[in-house]
Amino acid sequence: MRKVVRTRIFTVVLTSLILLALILLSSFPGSPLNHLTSPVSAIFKPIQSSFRSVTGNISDFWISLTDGMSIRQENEKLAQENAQLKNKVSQLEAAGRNYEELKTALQLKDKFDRYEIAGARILTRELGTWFDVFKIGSGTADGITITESESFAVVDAQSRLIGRVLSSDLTTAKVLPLLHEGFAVSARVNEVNGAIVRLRGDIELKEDNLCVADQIPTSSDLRIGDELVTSGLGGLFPEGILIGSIIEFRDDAAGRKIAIVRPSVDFDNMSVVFIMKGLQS
Amino acid sequence: MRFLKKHGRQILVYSIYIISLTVFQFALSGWLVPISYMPDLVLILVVVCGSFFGSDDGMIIGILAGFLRDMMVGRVLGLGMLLFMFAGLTASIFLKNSIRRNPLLTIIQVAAVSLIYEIVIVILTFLFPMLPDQVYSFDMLINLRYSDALRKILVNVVAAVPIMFLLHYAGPYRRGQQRTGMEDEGEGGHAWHKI
Repeated sequence: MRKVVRTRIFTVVLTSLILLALILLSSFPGSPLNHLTSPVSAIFKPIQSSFRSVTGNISDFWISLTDGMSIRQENEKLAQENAQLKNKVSQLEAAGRNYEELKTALQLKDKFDRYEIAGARILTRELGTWFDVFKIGSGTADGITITESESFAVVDAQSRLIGRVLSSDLTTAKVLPLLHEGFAVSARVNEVNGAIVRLRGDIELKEDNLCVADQIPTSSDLRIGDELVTSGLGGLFPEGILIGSIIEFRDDAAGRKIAIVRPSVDFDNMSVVFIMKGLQS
Repeated sequence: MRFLKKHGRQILVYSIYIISLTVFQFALSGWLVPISYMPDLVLILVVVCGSFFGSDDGMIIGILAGFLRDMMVGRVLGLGMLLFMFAGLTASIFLKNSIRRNPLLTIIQVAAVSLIYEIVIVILTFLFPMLPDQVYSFDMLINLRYSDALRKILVNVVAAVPIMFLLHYAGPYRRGQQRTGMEDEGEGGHAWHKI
C-alpha cells in the first residue's frame, strides 16, 4: 500500500518536472519543442476550420436577424447624413484629383508593396489569461518560421496592426495580439517628426479593447485623436503600420503620463489575418 | 493487443470526449458565446473524470486535455498540461478515505477546482509578468479577476451537470463495472464510481 502511494507520488513529481522543463524550453522563441504540436495541429486544422465556417455562418445569420431592427432606425439617420455627405463628396472629389496628381508626381507607392504578405484564417480565439493567444492556419510550411531574432507582424486587410507571430508549428502559428499584456512595440505619432513612444498591452484595459502608450518624451506634444503607427525601430515591425489613436491621457502609478490608445483594428470581427513575411527578394 | 482489448473502450471514449469538447469549446468561445460566459468544458471534464474515476484517469486526461489547450491557445507548451494534471489529481484527492462519490460532491469539486484554477492563474500572472517593467500588484489582479471568476465558477457548475450525465451513462467504463486488483480503493486512486 505504502509502495503504491510512493510510486504515485514519484510519478506525479517526475511528470511535473518534465512538464516544467517543457514550459521553460518551449518559452524560447523558435524553440523546436513547439513542433511537438505539428501532428496534432495537422489533424485539428481542418476540423477547426470547418467548425469556424459553421459558427461563422450561424453568427452571420444571427447578426442579420438582430440587425434588421436597427437598420430601420439607422435608415432615417442615414437619409439626413446623405444630404450632408453629397455636399462633402463634391468637395472631396476636387481634393482627390489633387491627391492623384501629387501621388503621380512623387511616385508614391503603396506602403508595403515590397513585403510578401500571406493570408491565414483564424482557427481559435483566446480562452482567458495565460491561454490568450490565437491560432491561425499558417505555419512553417508556409514560411512562418520564428527565430530568437525574427518574428512577423500580423495585420488585417487594411494593414492595421493586429499583433505578431509568437510561435509556429508545421501547419499553424500562434499570434500574440496587440492587446495582450506581453505585447510591446515602438510606435510614433503619425506626423512629421512625430514623438516616439512605446505601445503595450495592459491587463486591465484589454477587456475594453484598449492598450497603453507609455515612455512618452516629456517634450512631446501628444493630443487626443493623434494616430500612432509603428516606428520601425527594433526591426521586427515595418515602419508605418497603423496601430490606433489616442483617446485619453492618464498618470500611471509612478506619476508618469501615459496615453490610452484604441486600436484601429476590430478584434471582435476578425476571421482572416495577413502575415507580413518580409521583404521580397 | 491485450492492452487495447483491456483499455480500448477507455481510449476511444476519452478521445471522443476530449476532442469533441475541445473543438466545441473553441468553436463557440469568443465567436458565438462571449469568453467570460463560456464554461471551461475541458476543465470540467478533467475534474469529473478525476472525481468519478480516480487519480490515474484524472491525471492522464488532464495531461492530454492540457496538451490540446496548450497547442491551441497556450503561450507556452506544458502549462495547460501541468494545470489540468493537478486539476484531475485534486479532484480525486478531495474525496480521499473515502466518502462515496456522489453527484453533489462532484459539483462542489467542480466549483472548488474552478476557484483554485482562477487563483493559480492570478498567482502565475503576478509571479511571471510578461514585460519585465510592467508588474501588476496582487490586489489589482485579484480585483480584476474577482467578478469574472465568480461568473466562471457558476457557468462551470451549470455545465458540469450534462458532462456528469454523459460520463455516467456513456462513460469510459461499463456501468457497474468493478475494477479488480486495484489495491488502493479509498485513496482516491482507482476507487470506482458507484452511484
